[in-house]
Amino acid sequence: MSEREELGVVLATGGWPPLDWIEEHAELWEHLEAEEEHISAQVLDWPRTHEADPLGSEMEQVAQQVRHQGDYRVVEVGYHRYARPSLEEALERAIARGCPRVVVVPTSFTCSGSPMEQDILRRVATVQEQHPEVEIIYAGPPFDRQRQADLIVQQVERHTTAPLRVEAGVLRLHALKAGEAAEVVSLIGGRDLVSRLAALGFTPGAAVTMVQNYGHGPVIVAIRGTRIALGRGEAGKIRVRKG
Amino acid sequence: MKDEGVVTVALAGQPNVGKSTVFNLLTGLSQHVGNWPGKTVEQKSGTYTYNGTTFRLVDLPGTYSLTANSPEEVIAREFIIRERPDVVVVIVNAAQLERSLYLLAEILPLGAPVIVGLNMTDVAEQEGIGVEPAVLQAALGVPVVPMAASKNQGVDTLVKTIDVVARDAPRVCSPRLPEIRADHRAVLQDLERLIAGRVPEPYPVSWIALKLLEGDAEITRLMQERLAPEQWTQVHDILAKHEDAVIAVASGRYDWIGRMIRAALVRPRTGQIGLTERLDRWATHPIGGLLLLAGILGMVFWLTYAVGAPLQELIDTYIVGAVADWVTGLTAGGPGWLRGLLVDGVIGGVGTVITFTPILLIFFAALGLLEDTGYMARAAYVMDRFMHLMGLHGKSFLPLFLGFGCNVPSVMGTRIIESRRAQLLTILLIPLVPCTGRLAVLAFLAPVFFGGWGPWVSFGLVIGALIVLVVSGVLFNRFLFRGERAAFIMELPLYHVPNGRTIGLFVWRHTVEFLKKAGSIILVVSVVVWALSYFPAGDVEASFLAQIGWWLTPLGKLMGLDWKLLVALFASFVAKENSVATLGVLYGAGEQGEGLAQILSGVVTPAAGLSFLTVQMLFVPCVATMAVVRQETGSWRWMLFSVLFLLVISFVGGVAVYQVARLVGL
Repeated sequence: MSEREELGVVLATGGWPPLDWIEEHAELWEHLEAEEEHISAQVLDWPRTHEADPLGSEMEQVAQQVRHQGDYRVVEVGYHRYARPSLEEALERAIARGCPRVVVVPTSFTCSGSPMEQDILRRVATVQEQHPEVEIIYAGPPFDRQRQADLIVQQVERHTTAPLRVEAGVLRLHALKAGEAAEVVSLIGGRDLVSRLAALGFTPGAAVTMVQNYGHGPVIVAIRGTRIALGRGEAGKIRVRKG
Repeated sequence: MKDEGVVTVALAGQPNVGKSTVFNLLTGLSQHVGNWPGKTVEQKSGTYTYNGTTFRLVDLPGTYSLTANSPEEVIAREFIIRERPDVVVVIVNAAQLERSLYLLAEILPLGAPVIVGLNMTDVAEQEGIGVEPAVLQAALGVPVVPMAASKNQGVDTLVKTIDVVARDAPRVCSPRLPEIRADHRAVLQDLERLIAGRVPEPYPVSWIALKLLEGDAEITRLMQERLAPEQWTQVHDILAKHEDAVIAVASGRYDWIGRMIRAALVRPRTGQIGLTERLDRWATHPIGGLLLLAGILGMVFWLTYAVGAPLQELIDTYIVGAVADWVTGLTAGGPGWLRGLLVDGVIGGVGTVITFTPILLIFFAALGLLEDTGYMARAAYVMDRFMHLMGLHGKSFLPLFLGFGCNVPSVMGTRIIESRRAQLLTILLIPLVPCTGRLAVLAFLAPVFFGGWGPWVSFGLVIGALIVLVVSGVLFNRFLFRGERAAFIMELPLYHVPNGRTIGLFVWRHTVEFLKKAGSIILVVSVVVWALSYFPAGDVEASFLAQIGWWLTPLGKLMGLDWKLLVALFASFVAKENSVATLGVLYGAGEQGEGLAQILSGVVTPAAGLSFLTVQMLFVPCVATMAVVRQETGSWRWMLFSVLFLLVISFVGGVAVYQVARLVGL
């Protein structure tokens, strides 16, 4: 997809206060945490439906998929806050099912050093103390960056299958058929390429005629009295309007 | 730099405007070819005299613009800015006036006195385009000289005009300068204000500001160093906000060109089909174009061998052979090593180079002809889709094809490729193109090993080498040179009648370059190899070379090669065709190698023969090629990589071919 280089991608993520800030404002932070704990405790027993708790249903499905793919004895979801089972309860369930080794994996791929991660570590340590016979492993970040990126790229692709909306009548240069004339509207791409194309005469308003285009492979266009052969990729970076 | 009484003239122009024809006409054989200091870009200069004054003409690299996209562009502008030539002649193509004036639009703001050489008026006429030089001159404000350099028209007037401008530039040059598109004028002024006082001599402030807006990497770096950090931050903010300014700058130049040519240019009636368009219907057709290319290349080969090979034989017998006999006679009374050194070492090495000259002359002449008519760009175009398989594009086809003649100029020819990555990849692949030397060995040995099947085996081996080339290219591209492919943007010049002088000088320059480069290295290595084959005992069979061969016998066995065949391969390191001569010595054949054919067909099985020919097709190229690989890649590492790669490939190829051949019972 040559459209990729026209795409902007934003990674939306949670934010955390820096650790030294938390240390300096321990009181404020503890207050906030206590507040959240308090609210969390009230929410826990609220009856849950699929519609009202989409996160819960999604986590269930993820857990099932992991169990299936990994062939594990137990895969439980343990919530940090606001839902049951809690992390401790989930650990206990796994232990109760007789697993000699339990692995805790955060589902937020990027939580290194966050207060949430520290909280998880504290709670895991507590359970470990109570069950010295079981080996509890925390498998936190960093996750494989390349595969994270793969996932994100895949997601971007899935949501960008529809053709890019462009101004009516504007198309890529290689969409012209042989003999058709058009006017250059804009150039897309890195500065080096744009600069080379502009020097050859591909500037907005310039008249361009497709001389040869077999629907695959390079094309030949005539611009400002010169014939220029362009790779298909390069031609795709020139936007034209038929006229 | 400026000698008293010598006028320096810089010759500038875009590619395909006939600049080198003008240069050749003015300087003839006085030209000196070297490299620009510190660059692998060719520098040509020459002199001529007029009215008692000596003019030094410097040929600037042909570039479309002066933005630092390539070393050529930097060289051209640095020369005009720093060396301050007395006159800059900008050659433009009358048939493509609009596009070729773009370089003029870049050169005028540099402040040097400019003359426009309006070249190719004959081609313009043929395409139905008319240009009025006087009107153009009035619009531009600099002298315009109409020319048809390939027909030697207008050159005298150019010489006269250069003389006039060199004497009194201000009187005849008062150019009208292009401006940036109106919507960016204020930004440009802001920039000029910010950098004023910080621009190093001799750069014009307004030019630097313009180049900053164009995003020129060199100038950006320069100004970042010169400006105080807070000033740079301001400049940087402006540039970041106007990333698209490069288009505004180019548009401004084309608007200016539009105003300049409005009155001077008569365009052809629409619907009129020019010669170029008619020819291109064939030459660039995806199938027709390939057939035409195959036909033309076939002709080139046929011509090269039909005319070149007999000449080569004549030279070998009557010149090299005669000299060798004469020296043998002279040294008859002296020690054996003296005769060996002179006849086998020196004459053997130099003779090889000399006998190859006719083949190269013909090959270069054919290429020069194709290049000068404008056909070569079409060849690159039709080959583009195939070159894509290897992550290359059409422009790499020309150097690869040149490799059939000789790998040395072929490696040097990779300079036309813009991207470093594509250039390296092409250089790595070139040794897999069988050169005339390898083909000569193949032509001699294939019938020896395979009788009537010889030509078919040869053909198969050539195709095999090319398949290895493509597969290696695909693999290199996949694993070694991952990353983006360079853009394929290439002008298809108008066809024109070739100029004998241009082609003659093309052939002369390439041949001299080959003789100098290959000649000296081959001489040295030839003497070294001779010494290895002579000492310590004065007998090949007990020589150092033989010892090396013996030592490698276990590896050779896998390929079915005995030590003699191995030593012949090593000898081919000097020059490919040496392997036949070495086999002659090792198998004790008669002087002219007549006996060799019978001896070889008796002792070498077809399986071993096939293996030997396979290895020799894929083996490390000759030492002259290695030397230019080192020079063009600028690194020993790439050269060593190339050697290792070819050693591995040829070894694997040899083993595979030998084992398979034995399995099928050859």
